[in-house]
Amino acid sequence: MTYPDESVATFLSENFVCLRFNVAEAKPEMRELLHIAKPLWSPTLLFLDASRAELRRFTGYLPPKGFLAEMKFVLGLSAMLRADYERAHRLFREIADDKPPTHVAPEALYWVGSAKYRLGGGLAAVKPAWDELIRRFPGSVWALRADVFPADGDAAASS
Amino acid sequence: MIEWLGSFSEASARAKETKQPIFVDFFSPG
Repeated sequence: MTYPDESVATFLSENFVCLRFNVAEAKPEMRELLHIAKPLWSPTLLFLDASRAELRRFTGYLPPKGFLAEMKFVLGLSAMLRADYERAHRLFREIADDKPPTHVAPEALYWVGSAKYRLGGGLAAVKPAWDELIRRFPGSVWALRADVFPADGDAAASS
Repeated sequence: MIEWLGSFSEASARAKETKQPIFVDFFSPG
């Protein structure tokens, strides 16, 4: 269980509206949520924006540090949805700079680039973050997704 | 201490008020 960890419990309570749902019960007040979420296995941890848009989900256990990184990443996505790109950039950057890096770090670096783009830097602002992603996490799927710039530095990716 | 709300509608209302995302833990007992 991760919740007995004080840092996780504190971060959850300070940053999220929290619900627990025992999948063995069929409470009417949770029916709409089940229809939205359709959990296939438990534990399934689901993050929704205030508008009920799904932000992220994962299945199974994570140790506290990885869980904290996931939660911070969700806050970054939520900030992107609200066009608060400065906050999003800061959150993604914090995850990327965490030492040792968590499993979320490659994806966070990808989104550092995206946030920089949204901050008005264009593709030229994306490249440094994606170069760092490819250099630090070359075997990651996110490095594959970021490998769109030709070697000469001119952007090949379309906006 | 985590405050676990009792329903999705309550959580949705609180999320709109606070602008915080909603976290849902679908668990199995035992």
